[in-house]
Amino acid sequence: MTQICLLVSDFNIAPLAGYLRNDEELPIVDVVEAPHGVVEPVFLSEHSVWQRVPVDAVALVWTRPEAIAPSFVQLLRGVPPPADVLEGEVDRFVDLLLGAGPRLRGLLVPLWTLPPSARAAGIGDFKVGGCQWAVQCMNARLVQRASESALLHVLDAQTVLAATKGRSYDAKLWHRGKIAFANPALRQLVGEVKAALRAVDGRGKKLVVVDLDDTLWGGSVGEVGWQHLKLGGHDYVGEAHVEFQHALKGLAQRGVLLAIASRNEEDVALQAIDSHPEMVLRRGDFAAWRIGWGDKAASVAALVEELNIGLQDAVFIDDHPAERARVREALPEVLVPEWPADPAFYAEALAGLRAFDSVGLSREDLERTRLYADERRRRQARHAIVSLDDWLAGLQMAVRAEALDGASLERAAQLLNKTNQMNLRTRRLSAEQLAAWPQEGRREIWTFRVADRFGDAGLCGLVGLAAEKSGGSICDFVLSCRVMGRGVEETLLHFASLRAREMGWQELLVEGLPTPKNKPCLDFFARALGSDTDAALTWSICGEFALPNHVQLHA
Amino acid sequence: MSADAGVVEQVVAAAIAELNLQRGADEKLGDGPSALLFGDGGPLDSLGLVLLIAELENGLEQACGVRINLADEALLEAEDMPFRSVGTLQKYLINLP
Repeated sequence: MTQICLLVSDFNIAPLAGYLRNDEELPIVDVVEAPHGVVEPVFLSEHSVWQRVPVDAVALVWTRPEAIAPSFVQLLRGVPPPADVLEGEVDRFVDLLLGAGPRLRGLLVPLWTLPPSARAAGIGDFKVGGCQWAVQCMNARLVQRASESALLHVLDAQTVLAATKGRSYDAKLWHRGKIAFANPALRQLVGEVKAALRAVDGRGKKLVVVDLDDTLWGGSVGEVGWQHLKLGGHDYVGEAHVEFQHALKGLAQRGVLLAIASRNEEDVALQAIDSHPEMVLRRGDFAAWRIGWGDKAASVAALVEELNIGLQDAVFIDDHPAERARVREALPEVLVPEWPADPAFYAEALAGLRAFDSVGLSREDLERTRLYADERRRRQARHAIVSLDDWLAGLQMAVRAEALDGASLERAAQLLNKTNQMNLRTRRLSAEQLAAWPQEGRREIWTFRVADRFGDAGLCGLVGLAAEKSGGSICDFVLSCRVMGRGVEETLLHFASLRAREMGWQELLVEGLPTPKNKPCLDFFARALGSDTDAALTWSICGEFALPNHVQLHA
Repeated sequence: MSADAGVVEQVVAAAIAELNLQRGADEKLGDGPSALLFGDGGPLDSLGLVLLIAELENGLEQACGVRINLADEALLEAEDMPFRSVGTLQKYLINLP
């Protein structure tokens, strides 16, 4: 699906628009360019450019510091402003941008930078009153404002420009065409914009499947034994593997799942993970593993299925080109990056994927590995019990329904935007849009927290209800895949039917909107509400839908 | 500046390839000698010409180590304006003094 990106800039940004349109990395982007040099008027008035911008668009607003801060211009003329004046001008700029909130799903603002020609006093530029000091003040304020907003996101333009190795500015392009950044910088920024769009859309990768030998550690554990692996110590290869493990651990701490696909004896490999003193990642850091002598592609597919995520959410990292080629061929939806031969570049290669960006972290993100470990224990318990009803009864399922509020907004928006399979209509809304939606008409957003005897799964479900001419309808029905199949979906439906009765609606309409991924949701409704054909997409509920016996509902 | 024909062809081709990364599918520049660039019937507007010139200047500097200025108004107004086509551009660059 093509995403619309509105480009607003005080300089000529046409080359970036071209690069964005032609870039083949997902998401594919179409660009609406505001006239260059026009920033404030776009956000101040009913500028005609908005007629070409749909409400789910993302805006990239790239400016030079002198374009938004009059006091910065004064500073360049030798009159340095106090820091609070600069910050006030940043606040005014941010407030202006946020005024477009209802029209946009996201606002991307690159950090402010200075061209090499701005160098005046060298080290003195970073003292109070210097131009670099001023830019740092402005950027610090921008970052602060972004951290307080669900709409505003900062792009790291400084790192983007540094990656061009001195080719980020071209004085000739500036003077001849008012193009503030050279092509290498613009090409780098395209990658950052794409990563940001994926993050806004909740399409960051969710799982990294790693090989062990010569990937997580140096050497083959089956050959040399865990005591002689290259890992840590006074050896650059060992240190590089430790650095790579730290990078993976950092991803895990942000909610990305880690899994292992390795050709080894399982007990030998797990002993190394448990016993090697320099291992950063331990058994508890991995949500699942397939260690054996089978096909790697089959292992990756099995891990994805076990963790109940999509193939498109997974990354496979292996030092061996043949294994990468095999997984790439068998599972084209899995991201299989080329991998450097030298372990010194492993951590850099992981960061360079730009595949794990997110707009923020929820409590569930931080605890995701534990949640999946809970799930592994649930599966083990299930295998010990023959009857599904007995298993469900023993889970002690508890579901708590709560109206959407400020505390749940961030996670609810994340759930709405990230969930694909159990999602009735796959409606995508920013946090601000989601918060605003129930304010109009007779509309409600309910969230659902799920817990059982194995642990608290957190906020996993969302239902949106709206009054219609002759009753009500379910506008959103979203459930995290990690609690599917335990009666939670029936519980949400039960709750929706109760609310319909309380609202005085005779009938609750359900209309599914099919996507390539939400067949599990449509199948659920077909099973739960019945249909004559597989293709039915509309249902209705009259009266109360039954609550599963094994679920305690708290509302 | 002395640049052999091979180097000039490579620099021109690379500049056109870079511009094509910014242009729509139906706006791509040709890279054969007869492909028009700027002026009557040429697909480049003034911004496109600025971008092409910058790419050429940077490419020639990297290839030959010499800074040149192609953004010369007299050059653009000349009867045999070198940016007319890929072929005229290559010929002009090869014969630069």
